[in-house]
This record gives sequence, structure tokens and C-alpha cells, in this order.
Amino acid sequence: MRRLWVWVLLLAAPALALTGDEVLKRVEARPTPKTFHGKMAMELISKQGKKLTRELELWSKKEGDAEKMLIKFLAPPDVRGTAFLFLKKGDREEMKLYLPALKKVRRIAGGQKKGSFMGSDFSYDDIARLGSLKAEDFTSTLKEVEEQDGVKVYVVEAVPKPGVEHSYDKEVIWVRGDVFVPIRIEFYQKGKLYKVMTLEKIEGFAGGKYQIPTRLVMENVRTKHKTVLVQKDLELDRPIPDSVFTERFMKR
Amino acid sequence: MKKLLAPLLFLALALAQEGPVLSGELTYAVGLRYSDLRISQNQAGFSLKLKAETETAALVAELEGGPAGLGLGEAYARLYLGPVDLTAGRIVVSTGRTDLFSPLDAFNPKNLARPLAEPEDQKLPLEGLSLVYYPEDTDAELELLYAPVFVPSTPPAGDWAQPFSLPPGVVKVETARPDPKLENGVFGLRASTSLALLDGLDLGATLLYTYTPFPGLKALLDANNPSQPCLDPNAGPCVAVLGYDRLALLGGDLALAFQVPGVEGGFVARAEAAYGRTADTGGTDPFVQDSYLEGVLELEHTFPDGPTVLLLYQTRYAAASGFTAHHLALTARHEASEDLTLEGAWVHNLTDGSGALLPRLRYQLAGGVSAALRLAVFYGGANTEFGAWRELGELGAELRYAF
Repeated sequence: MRRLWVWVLLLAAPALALTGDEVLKRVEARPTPKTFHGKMAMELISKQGKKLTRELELWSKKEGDAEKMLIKFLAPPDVRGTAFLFLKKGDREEMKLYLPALKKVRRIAGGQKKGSFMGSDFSYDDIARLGSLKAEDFTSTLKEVEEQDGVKVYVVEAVPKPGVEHSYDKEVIWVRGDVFVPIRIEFYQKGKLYKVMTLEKIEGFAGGKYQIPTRLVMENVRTKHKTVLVQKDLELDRPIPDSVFTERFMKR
Repeated sequence: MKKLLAPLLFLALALAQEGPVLSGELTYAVGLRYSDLRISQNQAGFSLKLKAETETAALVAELEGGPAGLGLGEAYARLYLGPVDLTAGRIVVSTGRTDLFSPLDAFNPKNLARPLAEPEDQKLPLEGLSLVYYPEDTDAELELLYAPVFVPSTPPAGDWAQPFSLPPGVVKVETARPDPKLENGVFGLRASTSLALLDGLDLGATLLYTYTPFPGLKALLDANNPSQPCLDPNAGPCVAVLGYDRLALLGGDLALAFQVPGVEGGFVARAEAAYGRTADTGGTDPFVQDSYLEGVLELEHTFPDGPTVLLLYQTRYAAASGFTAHHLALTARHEASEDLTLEGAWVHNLTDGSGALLPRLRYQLAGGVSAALRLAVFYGGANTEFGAWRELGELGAELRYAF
């Protein structure tokens, strides 16, 4: 009997030994496509249940420490043609918005990243990161290990390190232990729960190499307003020319 | 023209196969003047836009209908030729960076018949060419513009028209436009780039070789002998000839994004400065409009989960005549929910103390239908810029269906 316990402890040891930082590093290290192109349906749901749907097309690309993302609004008509460009190289981030009615590309200030992205519960920064984070920017603590549907789920509290610019002062992240993909993130501001993102559907692509959340729900717990983001027609690792991530392409 | 028509027709047919996108909107606006409870505006309008695009070309045609009748809006063909975008047709371009006041955004004429319309809706398409060159691996762009025929702006009409006095002896007014010759066209050149400074810096430089948007007095002629000047404009009979002066508009603009330590939310500073040079730099010729300097400073701040606020200061100075005007403006826009947007603008003329207050509320109804309620309040003395419109303050409503 004692021998059995030793075996159980030995088998469980690697999982139990994971620290919060290691969990986030595994999340960060999981395979992600170099390029991503797809369509999104963004459903805005008010506290009263009133719905408004927006359709977007998204292109993104990662090369070393450089990230590029372009989003174009396809519907409804009042926002059709609006385009959002996010460029990141190292610690430098740049965001621009093209408003077709003005025929102007407008720069968005860094601090505006916390603002609502086109009326949704996602901020510009949330959209730019879509659940991803850089483990080294956070002091992470493993709070709990849960089990959901037979799968181990790590609950990690991540607090931005001093000097790291971040939209929230704390995130609590539920990470599935089999694929190391976040399934729920709680965002805190000024010590209080502000928003909750649930990654409701995660699909495997490229033979299961990539685990991509295809249905995300962001709820503002203060206003009870929700935004549902559904990703479809995904194309991964297909070459996307750099010319896509330019003001010229935003205007087309 | 026939030579141009064939390739355009070919382009249209090729693009039609790509599945053109039809969009448009129907609007109905009504205004009630609160000083005398008169209906000040009661008009319906529509626009239909057809756009077809491939990897190498685009075709856009817009049909507009309103109280003035039916007409073409923007209508152009665009070719994407490597690093160059070439556009020909009825075009609308933006050559400025600041909002509300933009001294450099003067390529397209403006329809100011109703001065309260949205600035972007006031731009009138101009028949011309645009060539934009995007050098590879840079954030720079170089734009060349040319319109062979100058089209003046439409001045405020009806009750909105500013009083204009001519000598009592004037019995006839003629307005002369520049002859449609190559050298009489409107030319533009704009270069812009982005630099990695603070949260990002955009810089631009613009040269427009255009005309004054509104006519000035060019000559007073004897009505009985038009080849001779009118000797006594007060006795007449005289013919007043109005015309447009060549204007070389040279200026620069910038946008700088930054953050202030301890302040939540970001800031963007924008600025434009322009020198408008006419043939009369010394201000000695009464028949040529004066050269001027104009500048705009703008600061934008977005409050976290709150409104986006713009604070603007504009100044215009004509050294020859000593004319000076300063304006201060504050605008705010807040998306209170996914269907309710609150907007407001306050414009104040610091020189004559007049101003305007323009709040608006827009509500998104179902299926592309939106409704807006707006108020316009003017204040100031009778002979001031906005005070002249004191009696024209109105409460308006608009219904819009976009598809």
C-alpha cells in the first residue's frame, strides 16, 4: 500500500510541481500559427438582451518579436470599411484606425488601448492580445488545480510586474492542463472584478497542432453587457504579405 | 474622351464579374426653428453606392438624390499598379489632419448651403486624378492631385447667407471662373510619414495650388461700356465682376500620440499650419484677396469607459488687412451603449464673442435604421459670425436607413 502511494505521488509530482509561472510559460510556448486570417461575428448583447451583430475580417502575423494585426469591419453598413491596425515590435506598440467617412487614418494613443473596441466589451488591447500574454511580464501564482470533465485545470493569478504597462491590475486565468489553453480569464481593475472572458469553444487545427478559441464571450460584470466573438473561415499559416498591414490596405 | 471610355468600360465589365457590392442610405431630416416655430428643414435624400474591387482595380459609383435633384457623387476608377494607386474620376480626398477646422484640407470644394452639416458631408467631389506612391518598406506616402476644372465652394444659402454689400451704383453682378485650361487646374502635392517617437508621430506636408473658395471683387466696370472701369461706383450704372484668386496653400501637419504619467487614458495632439499666398502679398490691391496664415492646435483625450473629447484652437491672420480671427472649440463623443451615441460641439469665436452649441443624440434602431435628435443654438451680437444666425437656432430630427 505504501509503495502504491509512492507511485501515485511520483506520477502526480510533475503536475503538482507546476508553478503559476510555469503554467503561463507553457501557455505562451504552445504552438501558435505564424499567420492567421479569418472572419469574426461580433454580437453585442445588452443587459436587456438586445443584440447587435458586427462582422469583421482579421489578418494577423507573427515574426520574432514583431506582431501585426489588421481588422476590417464588413457589417453593419454604418461601420463598413472601418479598419483597425495594430503593430508591435518589442515593447513598441502602434495602433491606427481608418474611418471611411473621414477618409483619414487616425492614430490611437497608447492609453486609449483600454477603451472599448467599436462599442464592444473588448478593449483595443484585448483584441490585440485575444487571451495571449507574455509570462515574463507577470508575477504569477498558482491558486488552485481544478478538474473539469476529467481534465486538470490550473487557476493562475497573474499580476503585472512593476513598470509593465497593462490594462488590468490583475488577471485570474483558468488554463486547461491537457492543451495549455486559457478557458476563462477574469480581469480586475482597482481591485474589483471588471470583466470575464470565457473561451467557450476551442478547436484543433492543422491536425490538432493549434488549439484556437473559436467562440469567446466577454462580459462586463459591472454593466452586465456581453460581447460574443465567433471566429470562422480560418486560414492558418498561409502567407500574408506585409502590404496587408499598412495604411494603404486599410483604405481599400 | 472616347479613348478613355473604352478602357473604363472594359474595367467595369471585368470588375462586374467580381460581384459588385451595393450599399446606400435613405435619410429624412426635419428641423423646427424655435424662434418662430417655423419648419426650417424638411427634406428627404438618398445615396446609392456601387463598389467593385479586384486585386488590381476598383470601380466606385455613387448616385445621390436630394432637394437639389439627382446627381453623381463620388465616381471613379482606381488601378493598383505596384506601389502606386492611380485614381481617375469624381474624387474626394483628405489633405488635412485636424478636425472641425482644417486649413490644408482644401482640395475639394465644400457645400456650405447648410453650414451645420457634417464636415465630411460638405465636401463636393471634384473631377480629377490622384496618384499615390507608397515607397516599399516605409510608412511614407506621396500623393499627387490634379483637377483640370476649378469648382468653387457653395456659400451659405437662404437665411444662412452672410450679408454682402456692393456699392449702390452696381446694377449687375457677374462671376467669372477660371477658363478650363491645363494651367488653370487645381494641383496638389502631399507627403506624409510616421516616426517612432513617444506613442507614434505622423508628419505631413502639403502644397495646394488652388483658388480662393469664395469669389472676391475683381473689377467694377461701366455697365454701358464694359471695357471701361466704372468711374463712380456710387452713381453707377456699374457691373461688379467677381472672381477667384489663385491661392498657393503651403503647410505642414502632425499627430503625436502620448501619455501623461498619472492620467488614465491616452492623448493625441494634432496640429496644422498653413500659409495661403495670393498675388497680393502686400495687401495693396483691393481687387485681390489677401494672403493669410492659419493654424490649428488640437488635443484629443479618451477617458476610460467615457467620452472622447477634442479641444481645438484655430487662428487666422491676414497681415495686410490686419484681419485676425480666433476660435475655440470643444467636442465630445460618447458611445453610452451599443445603440446610443451622445455627441456635442461648442464653437466659440474669441474675436467677436459669438458661438454655437450643437448637441446631438443618435439612437440605433433595428436593422440599419437609426434616429437622431439635434439642437443648434447660436449666440452673439447681430453682426457677429454666429450671432447673425441667432434666429436660426433649431431643433432637428433625422431618420436614416443604411444598407
